[in-house]
Amino acid sequence: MKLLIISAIAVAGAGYCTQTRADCYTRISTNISQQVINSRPVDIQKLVGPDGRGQKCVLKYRLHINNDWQTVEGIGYGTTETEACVQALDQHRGNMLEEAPSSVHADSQMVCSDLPDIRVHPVRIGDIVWESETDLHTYVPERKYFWYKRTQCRMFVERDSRNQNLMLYQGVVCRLSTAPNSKWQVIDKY
Amino acid sequence: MRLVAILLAISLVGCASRPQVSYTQLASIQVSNANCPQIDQITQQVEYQLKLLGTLNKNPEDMSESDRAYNEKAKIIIWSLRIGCNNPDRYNK
Repeated sequence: MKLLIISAIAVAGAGYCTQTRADCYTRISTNISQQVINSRPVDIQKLVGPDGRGQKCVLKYRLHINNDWQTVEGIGYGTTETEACVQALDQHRGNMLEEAPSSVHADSQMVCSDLPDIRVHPVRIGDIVWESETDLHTYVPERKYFWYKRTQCRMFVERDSRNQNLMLYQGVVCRLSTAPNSKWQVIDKY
Repeated sequence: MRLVAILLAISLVGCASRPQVSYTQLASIQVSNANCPQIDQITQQVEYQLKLLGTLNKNPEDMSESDRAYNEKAKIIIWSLRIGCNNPDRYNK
C-alpha cells in the first residue's frame, strides 16, 4: 500500500514536472500597418493545421514597431500551406500580442501558446539567440545588416542599469546559417 | 617541474602587462576607407593591445570602468574597419 502511494506521488510529480507551460497574451486589434515598422518580420514561428477550407496557418513573428520589438500574430487560410502562410505573413492581417493583462478592452482576446517566448534580454559573447532577443541600434544608419566573413550580421545595443548607472553597450550578432529562421550568435559586445 | 615554473612565470608576466598604446593615443585614432588596405595590420595591433589588457573576448560587464572604456574604443576601431571595408556601400543612400 505504502509502495502504491509513493508510486502515485512519483507519477503525479513527474507529470507536473513535464507539464509545458503556455504563455498567455492579450491579442489587441491594433492595425500594425499604420505603425512605424523598422524591420521585416523575424523569428517566425509557424503552426499549420487542417481547416474546413483547407489549411490554417498561424504565424507568430517579431517586428520592430516604433521603438520596441513586438510579438505579432497573423492568421491565414488557403488551399495549401504556402498559400495560408503567405496570407498570415501579410502585415495588414497582423495583430499585436501584448503580455496579459493589465486591462482588458472590448476588442481584446486572450491567446495562449506553447511556442517559445521571445523577448529582449541581456546577452553575452557566444550566446545563441533569436534575432529579436537583441535590440536594434539606437543610431538608425547602424541598423542595416552587413556582411562579415560571408555571414550576415547586424549591430545591437543593450541597456544595463546596474548600480544606478545606465550603461549602454553595443555589439555584433551574426546569423548562424542561411536557413530562413536561423538563430544568431553574439560575436562581440563592448 | 621546471617547465611548469617557467610557464607559470610567463603567464604571470602576461597578466601584469599593460597595453603599449595609451587610452588617449587610442582615442585619437581615426580610421576611414583609406585604411582598408592595412585592415589586417591595424586590427591585429589593436587586438594585441586588448590581449595585453586581458579584455579581448571578455564581456563589458566583467571589466573595470577604465578597461571597459579602453576596450570600447579599441573595438570601435576594429568593427569600423571590418564593417566599412567589407560593406563599402553601407552608408551610401
